[in-house]
Amino acid sequence: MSSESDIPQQSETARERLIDLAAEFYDQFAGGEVPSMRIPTRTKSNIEYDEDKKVWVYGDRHSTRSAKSVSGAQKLLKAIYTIDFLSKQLEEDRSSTLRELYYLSESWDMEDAQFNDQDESNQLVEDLEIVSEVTREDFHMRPEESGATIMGPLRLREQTRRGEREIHCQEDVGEGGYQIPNNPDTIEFLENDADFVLCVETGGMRDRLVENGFDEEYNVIVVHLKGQPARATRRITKRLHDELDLPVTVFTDGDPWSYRIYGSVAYGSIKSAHLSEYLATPEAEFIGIRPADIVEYELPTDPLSDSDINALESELEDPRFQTEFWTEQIELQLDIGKKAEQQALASRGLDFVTDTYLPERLTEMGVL
Amino acid sequence: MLDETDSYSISGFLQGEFTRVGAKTADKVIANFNDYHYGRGMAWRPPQAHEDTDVRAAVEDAVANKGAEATAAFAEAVADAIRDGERVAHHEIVAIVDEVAEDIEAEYDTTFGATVTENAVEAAWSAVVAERQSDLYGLVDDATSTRKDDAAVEGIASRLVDKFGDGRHRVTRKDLRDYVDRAADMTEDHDDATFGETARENIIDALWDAAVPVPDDPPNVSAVADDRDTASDLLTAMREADIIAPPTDCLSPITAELVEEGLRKEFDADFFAASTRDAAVHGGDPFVVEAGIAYGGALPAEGAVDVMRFANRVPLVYQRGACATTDVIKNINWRNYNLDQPGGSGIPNGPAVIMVHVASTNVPFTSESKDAIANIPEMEDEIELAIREAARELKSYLNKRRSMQQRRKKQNKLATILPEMARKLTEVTGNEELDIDDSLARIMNNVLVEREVEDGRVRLIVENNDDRNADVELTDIVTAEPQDTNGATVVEMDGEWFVKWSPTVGAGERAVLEYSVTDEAEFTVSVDGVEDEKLTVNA
Repeated sequence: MSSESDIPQQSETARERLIDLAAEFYDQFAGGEVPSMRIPTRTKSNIEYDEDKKVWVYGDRHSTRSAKSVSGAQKLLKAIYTIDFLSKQLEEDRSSTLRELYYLSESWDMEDAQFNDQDESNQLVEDLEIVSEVTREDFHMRPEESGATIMGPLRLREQTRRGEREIHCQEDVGEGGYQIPNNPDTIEFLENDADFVLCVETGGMRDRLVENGFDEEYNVIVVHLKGQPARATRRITKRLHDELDLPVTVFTDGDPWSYRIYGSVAYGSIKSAHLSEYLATPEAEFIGIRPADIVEYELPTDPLSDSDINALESELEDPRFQTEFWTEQIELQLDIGKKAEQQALASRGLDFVTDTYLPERLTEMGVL
Repeated sequence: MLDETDSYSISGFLQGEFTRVGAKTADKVIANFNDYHYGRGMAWRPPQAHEDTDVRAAVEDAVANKGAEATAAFAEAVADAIRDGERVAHHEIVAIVDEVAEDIEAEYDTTFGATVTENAVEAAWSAVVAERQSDLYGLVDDATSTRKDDAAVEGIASRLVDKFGDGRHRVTRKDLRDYVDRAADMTEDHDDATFGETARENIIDALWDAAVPVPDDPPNVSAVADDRDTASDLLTAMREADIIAPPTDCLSPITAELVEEGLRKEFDADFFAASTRDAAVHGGDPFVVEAGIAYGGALPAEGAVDVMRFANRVPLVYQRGACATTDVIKNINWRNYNLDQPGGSGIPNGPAVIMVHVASTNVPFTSESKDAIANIPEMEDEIELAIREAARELKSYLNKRRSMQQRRKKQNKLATILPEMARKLTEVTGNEELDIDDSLARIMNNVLVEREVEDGRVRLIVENNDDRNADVELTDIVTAEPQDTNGATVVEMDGEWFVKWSPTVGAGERAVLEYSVTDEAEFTVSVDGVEDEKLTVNA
């Protein structure tokens, strides 16, 4: 959708798109019609697999937001105020965070235009992304810093507000790694010495890998996902895969929520399925912890809670998880009724994960 | 009354003691009484040619020692007579057999004694009832909806067969009710079918209709007077018979129009409703109840509503609490009619006046002072119905008012949001100012009146965005004489022309009035027939 080259022109297109949207409402009014906005329903049942792009995108079902009802009219009013704000922001080449947008709405003179909570404003920005086909980053809207990091043999150039910086993600950064900026499209990859990308869910495991020198030993770019990965994290993972042609692997806990983390890296999330093409890395492979690993390595476990079981069952119905691998694994997990954290591997010694588990799994998967 | 009458028969008693009851009405009462007292004889479809049972053979076997020819002729005639009717009941067979026996006696010179005829009746009846299962199946199947499956119908029919065991198959409606309830319950338990109240009622009706009234004479008056159950049957029968309405020319009701008119004159309210009931009877005296309700306006909103009682056009002032009228009002659930009623009973609160008038040749007062109407059930029923009739109108008025209020609220809200939306859009797009009246009218499901003027042609467009028809009365006041008004009436007054047009515009449709004016004319349009909240005039 965008390339790092001409950013001013990009924000100009974004601005035009927004104004086009406003013009559409204007025309509806001028034609004596009831202004309305059609957006795809963002639910699990309305995502389908795009064979060509190999990602999950929204299906055909739409809902219409129209000014016929008071709440619909309020939503549209908020949308128009937001369009106004965003287009001004783009004009002045400023940026703001989603939270700032929410607080900013408090200052709008019209009480009906103010957001009730941040969820509402976040959702509205997503709606605008979908209808205008411009990403949030191009609106210069950013989330709060997610704090996800990269560590590995990669040299890159980041376009910061204070000029260009060249950074090597092992030599120029501290133990914490290189922090992924909100708009990873401002990064240019210069050179790398990496063999593959390893996305890690928890900070503890990332630190363990770095402490044990796993990134140096195996030439790995370790991406710290920090729970459900932010868009920027998913985007940079996809770029690492596409531009540097590196295989991507995902290493998470062995519970239903972690499978969803993998799901959003590999298949795209339901909430941002309109950006799947831009964020998802369909080739990403799942390392573990697999339910099979729990059995194989006799890991210490916790019992599945009721909500875990519900989550697993809903994943069985999730179109994204309809593969042989996942149905088998999920059914196995429901069968044994147990889950395990990444740290459970430490029960076999601190080095077990870097010396045994990962090399074994990666060899099995053909990455090493 | 039964003890005191001089009449011997019930018919005589009815005609003698009651005015307006003649032979016809008395017969109706007696027919009803017989149904209650004796029940009806269940009639069955006689065996058809293809069925195994043969009435003729059965009768022939039952008759002995009467000579082969006479027996054969007798059996033939009985079977023919039975096959003639569509259905036949036990007492009808008795009549047939007796009649045929007489004929045969005359023809063949034999005597058919009581034993012989009884045997013949018995044989014919057994033959007739033998096939009752298929008959019942047909009746039940017709009576129930087509959705009932065969097994359930079959189940209930076969269970009913057992209820009609031996004997003459005489049933009262109450017996039938028991039979059907029992059979239906069993079927529900065993066949996993459901028979609701309506289905059961339908089956009972079908069976009751198939049964035939019995010709038995009713017991005489003294027998009825001696037996309380019989007397009660007679009373029920009398209640059920249609007796001509009492004369009302002896009554002077106020009439609903004048009740309403009176309320209008006395009270400055927003809403008035009135009702008059048809004449009814209590203890032989005709009476008419009327009710009126006034609501809103200058009536005090606090405290209980005002109850005004009238008897034969005279206001009742004292002993309000002892009056049937007050009791009835207290027992109505006024919350159903959107009036506030603390605790769900008692006199309701709100800005309303309830007026009740009872006109009768004999108003049942509680005492000589004529202050309160006594609690006569018939009268209470009528008072309640009269009040409810007026209250229903009040309810629909209040509902409408509420929906109009909501509409106004929505309209106010949208009327602040949409212009703001338009202003912002104008600002963002940099286009010229927007006129959003049309959109607003569409959103509010409003009736939109618009005018287009072009080269002396005027087009008045009425667009109905509502989901029901709108009867619009539109008057366009023009300062020049309009031509070709396409059916609209034009009246001139002091140099102004009133163009009147009353279209009915269907839901979601539009109607156009076109006319031409010669000069530069000025227009003023006024629209009636549509509530202000629902109207947008853009002309």
